[in-house]
Amino acid sequence: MNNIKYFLPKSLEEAVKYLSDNNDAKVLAGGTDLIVKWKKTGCPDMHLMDIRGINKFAEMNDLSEGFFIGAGATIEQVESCEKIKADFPILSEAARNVGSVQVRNLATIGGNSCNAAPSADTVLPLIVYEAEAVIVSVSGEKRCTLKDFFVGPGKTVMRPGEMLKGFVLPKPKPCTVVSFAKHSRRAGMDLATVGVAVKICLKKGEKSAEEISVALGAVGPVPVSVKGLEKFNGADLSSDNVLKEIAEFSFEQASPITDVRGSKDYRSKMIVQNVKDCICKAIKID
Amino acid sequence: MAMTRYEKGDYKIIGTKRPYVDAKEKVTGRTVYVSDIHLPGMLYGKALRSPYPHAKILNVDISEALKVPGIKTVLTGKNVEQYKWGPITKDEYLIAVDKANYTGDEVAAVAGIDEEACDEAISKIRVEYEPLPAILSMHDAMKDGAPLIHESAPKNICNHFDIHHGLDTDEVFKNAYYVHEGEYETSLHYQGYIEPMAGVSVWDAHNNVTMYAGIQTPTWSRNDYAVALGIPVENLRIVQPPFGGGFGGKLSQPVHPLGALIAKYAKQPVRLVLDRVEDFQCALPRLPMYFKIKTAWDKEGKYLGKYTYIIADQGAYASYGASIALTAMYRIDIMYKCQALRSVCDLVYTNKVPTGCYRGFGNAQKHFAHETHLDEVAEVLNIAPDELRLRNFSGENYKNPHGWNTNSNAVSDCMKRGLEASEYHDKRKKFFVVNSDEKNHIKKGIGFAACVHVSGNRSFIKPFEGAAALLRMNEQGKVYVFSNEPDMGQGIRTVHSMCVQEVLSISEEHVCTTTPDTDIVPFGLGCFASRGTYMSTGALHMALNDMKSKLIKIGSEILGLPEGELELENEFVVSKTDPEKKASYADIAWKHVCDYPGQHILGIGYFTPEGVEYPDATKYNNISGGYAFGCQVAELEVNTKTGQVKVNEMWGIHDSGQPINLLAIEGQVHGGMAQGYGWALMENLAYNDKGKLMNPSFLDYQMPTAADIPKINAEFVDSFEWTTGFGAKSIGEASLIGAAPAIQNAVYNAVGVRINTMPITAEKVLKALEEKKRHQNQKTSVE
Repeated sequence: MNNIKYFLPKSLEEAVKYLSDNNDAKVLAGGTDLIVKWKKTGCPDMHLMDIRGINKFAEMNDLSEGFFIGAGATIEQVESCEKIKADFPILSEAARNVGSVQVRNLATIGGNSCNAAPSADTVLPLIVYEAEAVIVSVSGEKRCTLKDFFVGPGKTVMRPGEMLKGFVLPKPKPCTVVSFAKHSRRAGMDLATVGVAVKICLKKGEKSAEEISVALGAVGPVPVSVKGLEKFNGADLSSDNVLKEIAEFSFEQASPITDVRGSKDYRSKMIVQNVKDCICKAIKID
Repeated sequence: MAMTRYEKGDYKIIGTKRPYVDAKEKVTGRTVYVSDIHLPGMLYGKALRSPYPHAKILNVDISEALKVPGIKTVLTGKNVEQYKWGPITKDEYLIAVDKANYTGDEVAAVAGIDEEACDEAISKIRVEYEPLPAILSMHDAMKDGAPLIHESAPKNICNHFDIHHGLDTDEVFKNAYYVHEGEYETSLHYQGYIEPMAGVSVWDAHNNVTMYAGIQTPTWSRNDYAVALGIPVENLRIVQPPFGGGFGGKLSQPVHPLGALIAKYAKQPVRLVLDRVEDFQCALPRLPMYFKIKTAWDKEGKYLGKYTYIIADQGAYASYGASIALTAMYRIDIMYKCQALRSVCDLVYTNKVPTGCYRGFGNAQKHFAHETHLDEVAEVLNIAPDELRLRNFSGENYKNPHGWNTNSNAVSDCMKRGLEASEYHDKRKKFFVVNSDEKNHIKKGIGFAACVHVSGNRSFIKPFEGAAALLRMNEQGKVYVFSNEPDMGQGIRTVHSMCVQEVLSISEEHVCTTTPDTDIVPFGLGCFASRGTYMSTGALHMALNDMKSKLIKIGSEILGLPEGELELENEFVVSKTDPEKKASYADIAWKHVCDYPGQHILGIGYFTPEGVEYPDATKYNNISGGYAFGCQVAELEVNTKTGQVKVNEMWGIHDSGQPINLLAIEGQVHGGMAQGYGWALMENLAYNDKGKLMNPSFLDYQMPTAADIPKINAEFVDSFEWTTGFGAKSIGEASLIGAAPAIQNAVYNAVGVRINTMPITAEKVLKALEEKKRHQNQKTSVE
């Protein structure tokens, strides 16, 4: 029978203290993954700490080092935040691609990362924007770059007693161009078959890059932050061969599987295709 | 005897757009659906389902389940009285006895005070299985050494049909200018109605059971359910409250009688409502079919002969498989004047979900295959696809080799208008130019399909065809409509109300269209085979004339005027010459209950389509009085880098006879085409090699969302079906069946590949494009 232990802390301090004393407690924010999963597994006993009563978790504000997005901000708030639209446009775009209107009104940006699904839409822009996860516990705050946040399907670096406070996104350099692609089977209410986020710092007035970042979703046990792209710094991105090389180099670091959303073979092709398309879109060539 | 020929009237209400009579209740959440019903003392029911696709049941231990607090009863196949049943082939127990035949087959059932108690009891039933090899593809079912699913069906063939009418097909093929062959395969398509299979059953002290059920065939299904329960039909009453959609899935089906069986042993009312995962696993989706079609043509594109071979995969139990297979075999033959027709079908069992009726009923599968095939032929013969069809379309009063004959038939008008509205010819030219640019990876295409469906299918149920209607005017002058043809969201109550308003000149507030209760409504067959409007308004037409003449008669007595001088206007019987002389319906109704103490004014009507007869042993005889036609068009683009298909706009132009509620009938076209779109491009219940359904959720079983569905333009050509009082034919099924082949033909127009195995996914399109390229490269290198 349903046996849920529920605690509603009133402050961040209270929450952190409770989590430290109750390592089995799960943090409830939007619940769109947690509760659905709980129902799917036959509603086992569950211990919940609900952070929706703490406004601090939903804050979004400018810090000297970048922009802070509280873990409890809903996907809808992230999607419609003017500051995010202006400075981190593909985060807003990815947010718009999460689930349905109803899901976006409940689900949180923190939950989308903490659930650690390889297909999570908002994770990819956060990775390429070099977001840092702010992790809190009774012993204080620490930071972890989001690309190192995920350790396995459903698993993050956070240890018992720790929780996600939010993300800090450094302000992108001028001349940064970005793009995002969610390759899915239908227009709404779907998980990505392949997700791609690209951020490029272009050399002034040129189509060559000072720096390229690529993140891939739904193509391995965790979201993939492509490593070693420095070798393409300075390469001419208007060249088809260069695009192909970058895309294939990125693909080498993915490990797609076959499931109901797509075969390994199709996913592999779509990684290459979408990386190429994303770079073209970012630097605005057809 | 000459056929009755009804004429089109000067309608004021019929043919206009009216919101549903029950719309306000529905959108404000007041409607009580089946799954909202709570009776005093009601228990919850739940089934334990087989985890194996095929397994012997060696032992079922229920001792621990019985100890769960709140559990009233635990049933197995062996501790209940039950009988093999099925709407056509009696091959199924409500609870499996010795063997489970698909993943999801009912192996035990419980009743308890709430769902949690039921879940716990279910988890404590211990079943010992001996897994058997399973058949997961229809292509394996008839192979030597394949495991046998039902003893009664050697080689797993439930039915083998061979229908041959008209000229000898072999001769025709021998002498034809051109013979075309093609293979096509359709997918397992789930209805996705908003309310899952649901029923609430309660037994009285005299072995009578009342079933509150979401059902399209309330009075008829009593016959099937009574067999399963082993009770006389008269002991079974079905009350049909509003329910959340059927699309064909909710004719006779196991959930209702299983609920009644559990209630019988629990000795309390029982609610059995499937959860969505169960509904995906074990409701009755569309049969997948394999088609091999061979057609013969002369040089000018005259359609000379057709041979069709079908394997139809009905899953673990037969349900309506035989009728559905027959429909796939020959329904389309009323649209083209082909004189040599042979169709052979093996209807097989597999260890997958039992299948059933879904909007289109076998005809949808055939349309996908056949309307694809015709475009292939047109290309080879170098005749435009519309021209090829135009040269072969049947027309009014056409009698085909199966003995079927059309009455009204505006299929040519539908196609002409469809192509005109969509600018098909211009776009084909324009797209050819755009697509020739090799740098352009977005290729555009436009395609269409013609379609035909029945308005009632005489070959489905033997005893009779037709419908009855009963009208009762109460003592205040309000009219109640009793019909066995239920509303499942398609809007037939509004259709009935509009007909009453039209003939009796009465306001909507004074017409009450009741929901069927088999203790009250006339006997009848229900809503399937797109028969509801055609049949029931035919009956209603007669009942309304009956009531109208009674009102005039009593009015004439009150007013002292001859009947011929009177007419009905705004709920009065009025003198045609002196509008001051009038008697209100309320006064007339009151006079009647006083003169005949308590007796209401009744209007009685029945309808049977003339010229329609049950097929003989060779399947000869006209099966429908109203063949409904249409043409559906799809315009789309294909991304050659990803294979993704994006449909931009669709058109559905139909000959449905006289539309009654234009708003509802347009909605039918939108809904049908949306379902056809989903079937074409994304939907398929997929099994893994262990026989487990891989996508029993709305996330993994992809149905299109509002964001996917393109603009759909619905139009109706001028038509009046003269065999039924208000001239209405059908739309329900005709609205779905053209979309998939239209999309297929448009994809071909865009990129020159056909995906003959549904659904047309991006992955398959990309693969086909790669193969085409490889093929072209090989050709170039050889040259």
